Amino acid sequence: MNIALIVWLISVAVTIVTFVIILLVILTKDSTLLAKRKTPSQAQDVDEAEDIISSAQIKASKIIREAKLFNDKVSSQITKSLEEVGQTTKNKTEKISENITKKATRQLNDIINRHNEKWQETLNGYETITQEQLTQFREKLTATIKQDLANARQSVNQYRVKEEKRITQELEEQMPDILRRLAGRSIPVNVHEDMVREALAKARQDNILKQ
Amino acid sequence: MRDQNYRLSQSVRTTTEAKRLLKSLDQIISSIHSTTDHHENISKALTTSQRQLLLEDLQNNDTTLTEPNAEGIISDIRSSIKEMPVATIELAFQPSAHFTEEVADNINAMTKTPCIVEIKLNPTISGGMVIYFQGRHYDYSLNDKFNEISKV
Repeated sequence: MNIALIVWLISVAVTIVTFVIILLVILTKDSTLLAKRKTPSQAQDVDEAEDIISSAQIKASKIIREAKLFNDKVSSQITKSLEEVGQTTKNKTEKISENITKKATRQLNDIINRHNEKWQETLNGYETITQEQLTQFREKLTATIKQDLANARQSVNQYRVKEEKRITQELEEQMPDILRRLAGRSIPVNVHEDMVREALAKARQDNILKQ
Repeated sequence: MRDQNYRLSQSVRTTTEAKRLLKSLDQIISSIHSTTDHHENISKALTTSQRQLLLEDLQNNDTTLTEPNAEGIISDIRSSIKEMPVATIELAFQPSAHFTEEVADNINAMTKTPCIVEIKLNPTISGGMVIYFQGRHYDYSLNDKFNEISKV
């Protein structure tokens, strides 16, 4: 084996190693980018949940104010309880966001592992490899990786949308019950009696039983 | 005799009162056969105001408890109570006896004919009340208002 061949083989080996390193850097960068999205996505989930809670609070406050049936102590109890519900929701959405990030990382790791294996298999298939073949393969591989990453992002986003929809629906379903439980528990008997008197007055006004 | 309006039956406002009065009337009917001192039996079985109303009912029908048709009148009063329409009122809290009477008086003031008010506890309505009367229901609770929140 002459020296030129050895040098050529070494240079090919160096090129391959460099390319693998570059690929890993690219993939890691993508992975980091997705991972970094955790914060804004978490913030988005939490913001949406907070919006729901906030809207519910405003509406509940309006009802309470218009009904003029709750005293200040009861109103503050309800508000406090709503804040607690808000915190629980925030924790829930943070957990969902964490799950989304885990899913994204898992998918990226799968892509990296799959392509590493493919890369290794292809290299094993060559007895010798030319610079041109290397370039062609690199381009092909990069395109495949890009496509896989795009698919992974789409899948993660779909999961995110589905989860956001689920938690929003869950909240919307739970909110009236939460408020009902809070209100029923917090209202003193004399306030209950006043509400019934108002209801009786309304029923009399509606003339519903004179049939 | 059944087309008579018995003031005693119309004095009943709640299911509790109705049950109590029906029991008292049963006692009077059974005592008619066991003793001749009917006034004493009535005194034991009924409250002062109920006793007064029964005597007025008897007077309006030109009869006394010593006459054979007295039992028929009391039976008719029993039947009148049982046939009275029932208005079921759901409340989110357990009302006092005094407040139950207040609700019953208000409901009776709204109906054409006297009715018996049955109070049921339903904490899920939060506040206010729901009326069930003659197959219909009227929601005057906070329930609907809270449901609006789900439409946020």
